Amino acid sequence: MATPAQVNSKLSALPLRCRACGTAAEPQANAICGECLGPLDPDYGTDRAYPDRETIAGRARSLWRYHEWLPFNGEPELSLDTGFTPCFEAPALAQRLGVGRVWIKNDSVSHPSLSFKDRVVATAVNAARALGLDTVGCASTGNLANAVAAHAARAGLKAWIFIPHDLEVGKVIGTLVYGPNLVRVRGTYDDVNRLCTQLADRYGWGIVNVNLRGYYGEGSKTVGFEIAEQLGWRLPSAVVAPMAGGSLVTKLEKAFREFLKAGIVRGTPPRIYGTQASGCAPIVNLVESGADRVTPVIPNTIARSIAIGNPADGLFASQAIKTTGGWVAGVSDADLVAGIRLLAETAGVFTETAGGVVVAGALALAKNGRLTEKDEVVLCITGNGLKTIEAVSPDLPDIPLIDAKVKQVAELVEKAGQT
Amino acid sequence: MSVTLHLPTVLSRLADNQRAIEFDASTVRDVINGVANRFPALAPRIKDEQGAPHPFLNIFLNDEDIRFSGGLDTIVKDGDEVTLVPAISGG
Repeated sequence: MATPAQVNSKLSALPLRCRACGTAAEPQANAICGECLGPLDPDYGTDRAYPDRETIAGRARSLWRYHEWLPFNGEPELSLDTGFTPCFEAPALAQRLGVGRVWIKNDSVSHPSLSFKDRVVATAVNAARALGLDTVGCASTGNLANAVAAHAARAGLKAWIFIPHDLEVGKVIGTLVYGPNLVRVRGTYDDVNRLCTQLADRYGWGIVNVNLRGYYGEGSKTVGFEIAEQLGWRLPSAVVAPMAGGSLVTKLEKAFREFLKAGIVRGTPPRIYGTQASGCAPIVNLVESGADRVTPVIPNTIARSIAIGNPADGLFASQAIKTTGGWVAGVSDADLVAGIRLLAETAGVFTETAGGVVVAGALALAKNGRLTEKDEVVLCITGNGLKTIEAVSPDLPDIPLIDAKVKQVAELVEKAGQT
Repeated sequence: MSVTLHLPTVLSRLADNQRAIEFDASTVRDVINGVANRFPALAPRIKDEQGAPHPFLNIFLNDEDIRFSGGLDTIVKDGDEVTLVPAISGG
């Protein structure tokens, strides 16, 4: 644990409580319960005041408009403009899926680093500031590296970022440009994650997804809050999300539960569906097998952004999925690439591999009758396709090369059947 | 075989603040049972009631997750390092 260097008097992090055994803990850069090693979550207490719809709607369009459900007292001062990404209906995609209505929650245009990881890092850097830490870091499959580097640069925090050695070029450059201490590690994400868990213990840095994890994870809830607001203060019948460590699906379930409890929305919580690439599907395996423990796998997929073979929240994700009546889908690499193209061609959004997994997973879930024409489905598109062009470029058609002559264009138009 | 067990802070406080402890052992199970016997307060935090690894703890032998080798029955050799790492991490 780090010694606070400079505590921000305007902002304080909430105390923590173990999700597994209920043991209470002071606000700190530690996410592990000393009693049972379970996850420490922020403790919002029982007397916290929550706003109504009108109050929320009158606030700035960022994730901080829901600040009462985020793990602080006082005024956050970092990353104030993250969140409130577009959520729009995609009827052509709904038709292709064979479901009633479909919306795209488009975090591929998240500010500033083009993935939903901006949300969790926004809360994590404020936790770092509140706890007086001057260095943040992460173990990352790419998107989190981008986000930590960007948010830390803006906040003036030092950053130590660890990634697997073979990440996509876009994600490496999209981290390095911000000037962090970036380190490539020989091995998989799970090797990197184990290393960072040891480093957080040794150096006391604010490793956002290790010892700041309790505060970090709460940022994911804002995807759920925004979905509810952007659908007109109501809930869809189903939400489909990618799963890596499994945290996002647990936080979606928590967000909808919290909005229902606060009376912000009414009705039935959405069924939550989790999707993974078949080449790294430990949570899909867990749900389908009904086992009580995750069996780790060694990832073998192009969906590197969600290639976590030993998911920390696997069991909790399984519980969230089953509690809501949802299910899981594993998809092949070929199908996820087809999913990327289908989303682009029907909804005008270029997503990365994880988004392709969501679209392909939704197709599979519709095909086996788990999503139907009665459903209103939100697809969580969590990252930008420009970061993983290697995944889709081999699958795209050749581009005609012509001289600057009308005749040659006319031949192409005729060939395309648009004469 | 002389094996070194490395403990994270959250567990070392229950082991007289020792971060590294030597054990004479033939398997990873010997190491886990050894530290559990020497520091009884650690036992429920590293093993479940059936003697399997605690669900919120990962065990590594020379940086390799033992679930990919022989689990607790993985054979250890002289100079090996066993490391306990909290599982709730990352993602």
